[in-house]
Amino acid sequence: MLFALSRAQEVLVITLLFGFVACVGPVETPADGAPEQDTAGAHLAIDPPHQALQLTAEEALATVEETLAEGLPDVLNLHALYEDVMRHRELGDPGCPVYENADSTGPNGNWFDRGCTTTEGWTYFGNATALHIIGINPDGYPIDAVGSSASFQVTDPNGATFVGGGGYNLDRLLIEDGRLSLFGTFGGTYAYDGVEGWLHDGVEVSLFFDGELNHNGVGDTPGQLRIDGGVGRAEGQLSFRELIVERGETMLLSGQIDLRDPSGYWFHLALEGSERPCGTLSAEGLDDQDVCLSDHVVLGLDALLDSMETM
Amino acid sequence: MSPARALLALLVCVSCSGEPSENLPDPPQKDPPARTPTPTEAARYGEPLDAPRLLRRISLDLLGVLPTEDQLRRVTEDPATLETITDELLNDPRLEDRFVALLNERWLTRVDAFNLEPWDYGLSAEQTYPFLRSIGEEPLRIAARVLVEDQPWSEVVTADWTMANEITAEIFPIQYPEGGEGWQVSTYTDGRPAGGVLMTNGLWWRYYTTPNNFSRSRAAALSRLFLCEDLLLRPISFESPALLDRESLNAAIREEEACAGCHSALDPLASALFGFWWFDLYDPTELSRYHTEREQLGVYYLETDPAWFGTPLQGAVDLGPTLAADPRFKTCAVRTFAELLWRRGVEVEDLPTLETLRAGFVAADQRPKALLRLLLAGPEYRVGALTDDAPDEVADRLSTARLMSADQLATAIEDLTGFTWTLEGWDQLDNDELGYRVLLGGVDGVTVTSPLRDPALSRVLALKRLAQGAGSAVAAADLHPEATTRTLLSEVTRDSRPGDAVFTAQLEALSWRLYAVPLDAERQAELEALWTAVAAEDGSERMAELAWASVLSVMIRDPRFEVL
Repeated sequence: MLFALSRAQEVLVITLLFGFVACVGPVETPADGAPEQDTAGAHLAIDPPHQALQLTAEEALATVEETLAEGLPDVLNLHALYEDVMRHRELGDPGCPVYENADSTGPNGNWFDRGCTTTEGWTYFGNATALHIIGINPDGYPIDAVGSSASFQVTDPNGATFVGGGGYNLDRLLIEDGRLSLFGTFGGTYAYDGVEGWLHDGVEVSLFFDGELNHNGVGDTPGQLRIDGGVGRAEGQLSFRELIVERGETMLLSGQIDLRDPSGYWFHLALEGSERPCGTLSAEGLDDQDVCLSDHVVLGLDALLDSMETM
Repeated sequence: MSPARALLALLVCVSCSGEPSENLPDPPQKDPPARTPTPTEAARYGEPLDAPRLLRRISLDLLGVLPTEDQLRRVTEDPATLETITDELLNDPRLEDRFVALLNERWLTRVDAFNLEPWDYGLSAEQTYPFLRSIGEEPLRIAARVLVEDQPWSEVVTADWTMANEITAEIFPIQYPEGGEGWQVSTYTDGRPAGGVLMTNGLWWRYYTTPNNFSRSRAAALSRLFLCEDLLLRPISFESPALLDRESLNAAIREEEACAGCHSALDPLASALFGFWWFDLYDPTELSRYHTEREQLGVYYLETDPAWFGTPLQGAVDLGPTLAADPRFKTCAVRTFAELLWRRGVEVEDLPTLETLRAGFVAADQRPKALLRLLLAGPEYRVGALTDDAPDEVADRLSTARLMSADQLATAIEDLTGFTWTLEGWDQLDNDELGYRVLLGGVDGVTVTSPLRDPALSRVLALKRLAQGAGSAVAAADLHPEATTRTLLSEVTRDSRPGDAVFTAQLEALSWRLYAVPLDAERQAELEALWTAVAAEDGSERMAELAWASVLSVMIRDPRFEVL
């Protein structure tokens, strides 16, 4: 050893000398927004090979439509289904499935079971912590909140299976002037082939909601819901970036809907917020195109808002 | 300023100059390095092992077994055949399993617990050990397959295939060859992009992320494993604000310069990893599938698009090819291989050697076997002793005597004796739930992440039990009157006694086979005395078996056996 370096210093020196250190130097931090990216490696001029898109623009738009044909996954609908199947639980000691609170009789609560079958023929496997709160929150507002963290498989007497893994919560507060404030997260993988609709063939979701709607649809101020995150179905995988659904006399869509091409790259549909659900479709290597979504997509979003504002 | 600080300051200054010339460019593909490097420490102060001992080291490192008697004979008669034998070893199918174990010392994926248990997939408790290894070895198996097929190392992070066995094919969305057995090249069917080990469940089950970490720990692991840049080694100093929620965390990362220093690179990298984001850390469906629709969640959670150290990524699909194109990837591969085979960390003094190795590796189109050949031929690998004028610090630095790793002990002894140590389906030398992997000096991948380099009491005790078990098994089998094949005791019978020619021949054969060292008279006398004492203590018709069991146990515990 030439100099008396500590082991940590040695490691640092080796990294600096032999590696290509992304040294950042004095860091300029932006006032807001994302952290400034480390661009020290940019001079490496890495330009990896890119794959070609597999879908045409027309096919991409059609895939967006197909993916949203059943509407967006509705977390309230999912929780209602969950409560339905858990109402078939068998009470008793230990019960089927085994609830942490042995005295509980409702569908919500904590349960865990490595597999049991009720006399009615319902089979429960896995675990779940689920709740549904209806009451007054600490600020004095009426609240309706559902939530779950779960990993379960329930088979009904007909052999249909309800599989759920993930977590969700949706808090809805009735604030002033008949307005409903809501926010929530809906994430996980869910499927139930015993029902029709968006859940039948399964869905992967990672959605985030934030908005203000009119309680039970009554009110003059337009309702607004912001949607981020993604939805994956057999038909396609979508990702929403600040998609704003504003519902007044008409429905306005703004923000971005992205579609994943099978190549792994993404199409981006930037919606302009006009009365027609139109915008610009773009992708790496594709000329921008003006496109419009069908009213069917709008109706699906309309149905979601209907569900969310009903309390 | 101290010399050390001055050197550090100089290095930092040079490294951050921003000039392209600071990087180590890929050398011309065909031309050899222009300059002749000065002799390295190992070349100057090291004395290489003799040919038999070197062959023993190479055989253990490449295959995990001792060289055969024939290989030892060939290399004794003509040391130049070592290169030929090395090539034979590099083409031996056992290289694949051995490399899995070796690389695990760096990638640390063969752990004893994941978030899920076998029963989550309907598997039985008896399948726990194979369940754990099947998942943990997935990325290692990809790398090992790339090695044995001598594909460019970049394939490790760009392959559109994975390795699967019967268990992972059953529990993961994987297309496995019909009628296949064991580890096979397979493909995921859930739409994940090509990316070699970067797109395996096995890697990200080991390096999982938590609800408030947002894939950052995974990005750090990626940097550490494939760029050899450990972001945790960067010095930082900051006042800790409240970091309990996403907004506070992101605000600190934006506003604290000390945070931004790493996170400006880390977060865009983490943003490319959200296809492996799970909304329940313990749900088999969530953990088994890649979630294509979540690939862009980094924008939501981290407020940044995916990027590779400043180069924008279109998505996870760009991750593997970009990593492979980064010069640091090749540099890190060289460093990783060197550290694994040298059995020590690389140091400043090794940089010229690493540069030369890197040039050779690049010139060979990143073929891993070419890199192995270069490493195995180098003085740093071959050093077995030091010259008298070697400074003390060189003695500390060069690894002249290397302990057999836990997996080398397991495979070498099984190959020698047929003895395996299992309990309830667990390999006792390859786990720490029921076994002795860490006690023997291995890594558990979580709490012990570096293999033992020096002898320790726990290793002595574990090795003693292993040697006793192997010795007893060999003595019982080989000395059985009806034995048709023998492993180690090929010369003697139950009636052989010290002083008999066959007895002496047996000890000579054992010394040569176990140590690649001829038996000396002093050691012979000690072993004969041991045999005699044990036999006298028993006196039954099994006395020869017991005596040989003891002799073998002692010989296996001998430092000449466990050191390579």
